[in-house]
Amino acid sequence: MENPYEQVHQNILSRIINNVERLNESVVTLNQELQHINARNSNLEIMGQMCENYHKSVQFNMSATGHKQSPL
Amino acid sequence: MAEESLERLDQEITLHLQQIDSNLSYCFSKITQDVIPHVTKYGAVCDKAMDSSNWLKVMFQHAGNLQIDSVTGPQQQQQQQAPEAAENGSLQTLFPEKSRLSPASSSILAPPTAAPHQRPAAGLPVPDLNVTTTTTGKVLQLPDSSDDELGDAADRDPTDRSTTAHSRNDPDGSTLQRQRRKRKLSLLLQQQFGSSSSSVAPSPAQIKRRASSTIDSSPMRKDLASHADSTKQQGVQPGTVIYFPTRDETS
Repeated sequence: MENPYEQVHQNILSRIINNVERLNESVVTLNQELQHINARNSNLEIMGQMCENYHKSVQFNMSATGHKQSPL
Repeated sequence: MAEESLERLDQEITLHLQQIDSNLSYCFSKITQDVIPHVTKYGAVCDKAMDSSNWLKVMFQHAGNLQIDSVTGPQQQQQQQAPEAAENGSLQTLFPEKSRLSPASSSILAPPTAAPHQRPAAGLPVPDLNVTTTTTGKVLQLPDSSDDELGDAADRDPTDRSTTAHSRNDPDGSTLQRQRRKRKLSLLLQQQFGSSSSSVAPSPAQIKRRASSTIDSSPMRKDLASHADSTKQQGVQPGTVIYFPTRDETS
């Protein structure tokens, strides 16, 4: 005897498979976007590090030479 | 009894499968409609921030004598160049996806006495294939010197012969060559460890090199160096007191 639920299960499973494929594609797209943003933000991060180091060195030099003044 | 339970199980399975399906479709729609546009907007904002802080890049470039290329290139280039940068341990590998030093800036940093030794070494066609073309070309010279140590005079370029002609004609050419190699290696080491420390206080050797290298540089750099010469000389030496014009005006 043919199981009447078998056809229904197969249909739902095929839909699930399609959904997973689409989801995978969208996640791949999202990953690419995030990688792109990361690669561009690394430059920004380096810039921030350089600014921070510059600030540190300026503070150190100013305090070492006695020219450091309180903020206005 | 068994048939009833079987049917109930089938119904439950159907229900769960439908739930899974609906969850997956919800996830898909959420990602495509909500997450990706926002991420794209965030990328645009980051691009704007990068553009508006572009002057900082230019400033640090001119301050550190290096070449920072923007990261707007394709992603594949970055992924290809990233492992190369991971191999280099110097400080300038902070910018992995870039050719760090332009040849002009490297020639500025190079000591003038090392220039006649480096030019024939860079003219050798064959050892460049073995060498990883790194940042400043400093590493390029070391395998060349090792090739010189192999002692095949016939493999050398005519340009290289012109520099080593006097040493090869001499009966004591081996000692002279050895001395020259030692000098070259010492110069390379000096150059490598002197110029890579852009954030640290530079060594006295580097100070001399910078002061003398402004002679060979372009007229623009000459002007800059002539303008900022006094401050450079003061700022470079460790332990000296920096006098700022504001303090002089106030006091």
